[in-house]
Amino acid sequence: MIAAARRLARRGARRLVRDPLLAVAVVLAVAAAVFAAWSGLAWHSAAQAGTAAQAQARDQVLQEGEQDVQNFNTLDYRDVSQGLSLWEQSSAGALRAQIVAGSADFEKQVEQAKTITTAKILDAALVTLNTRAGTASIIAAVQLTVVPAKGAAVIKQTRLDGQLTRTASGWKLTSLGQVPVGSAG
Amino acid sequence: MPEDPALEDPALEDDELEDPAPEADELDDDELDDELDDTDDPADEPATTTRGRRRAFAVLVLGAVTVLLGGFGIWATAHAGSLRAQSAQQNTALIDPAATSAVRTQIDAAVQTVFSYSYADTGATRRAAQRLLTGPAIQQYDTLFALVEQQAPAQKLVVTTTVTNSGVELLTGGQARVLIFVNQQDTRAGTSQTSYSGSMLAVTALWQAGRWKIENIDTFS
Repeated sequence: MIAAARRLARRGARRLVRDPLLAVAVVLAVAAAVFAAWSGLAWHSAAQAGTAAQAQARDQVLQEGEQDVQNFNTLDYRDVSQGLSLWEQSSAGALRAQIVAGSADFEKQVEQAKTITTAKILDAALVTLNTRAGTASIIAAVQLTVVPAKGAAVIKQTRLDGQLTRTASGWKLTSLGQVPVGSAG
Repeated sequence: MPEDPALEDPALEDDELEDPAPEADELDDDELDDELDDTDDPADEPATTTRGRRRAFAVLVLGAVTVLLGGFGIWATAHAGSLRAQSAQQNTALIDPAATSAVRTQIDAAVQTVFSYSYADTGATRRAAQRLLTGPAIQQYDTLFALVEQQAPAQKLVVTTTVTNSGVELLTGGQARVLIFVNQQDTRAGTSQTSYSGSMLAVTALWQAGRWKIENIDTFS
């Protein structure tokens, strides 16, 4: 077997020596194969090292988180139930349960206060992100505009800190609160 | 030239037959084979034609393989290059945990340093700030700190700034943007008066001389 293979290889080599064109074609094909393998590996490693998909995922989480925060800071007394259902849609877990439980009372309060609150996200950032576990934390610098029943609108800036979790319908807030001033760690 | 497909096989047989005693003489096999090849090649014309055709086919296939593999190689190399260029430009905030944490730690510390001072030695803060600021932030800070230097001694003011929250929004190569929430504790020495305030800052940072420096501070005001 080995002897036969050797003989075959030898015969092939002899033929190549006698046939330069074939020899050149073989050498070029082998060189092309080596080049293709090398560049394929380079491509593979660049794709592995590439973070395009992760970056896109992070941007998506931040974007959805910002929207959730914005929704939670928007409420119009003229349509509280719609506003609260938006809160519900933007939350999950304990926060969602809290909203559902307290919505009736809250609706009454807001309707009596007759305020319209709108929010503008000045800036936001993710503090942590664990795409595997589906958790993240977000901070947001928010500008609130509160229009009372009587008098001028009040504009105030607020610092919010929230926890996000991944659900079937996207990233939702499981907690959201103002960062206290002067707790001084 | 007779062209009969039936003659194609004899060429193969011919190859096999040209060395009647395969294992007989390994050493002389080479020469023997050569001789046999040389003698029978011109003698057997149909076999030569088939062989020529087969040779042309082999060259053609090898050529096609070369073009295909070479083409793939060129494409893959270009693609790898553009991927690498892309990731160099990309925002790696949170994706690169070590780099993200380094920016946060350094910028948090820098913010605490430049916004904390004691009326007794405002110069210490100003000197420290010089190492932590760069570009437009230097001018911004000078304007702000001139007021501090003017007023702090009279009010015996001690200000301690603490970062409560921070998140890296952008991190590309030597540039970063960090959103920071700070609490400030102002105390007047000699009195028990202490007041607290909170602020939010968006800090742009540049990597310079082996550390992150504050390049710009946006207070959203």
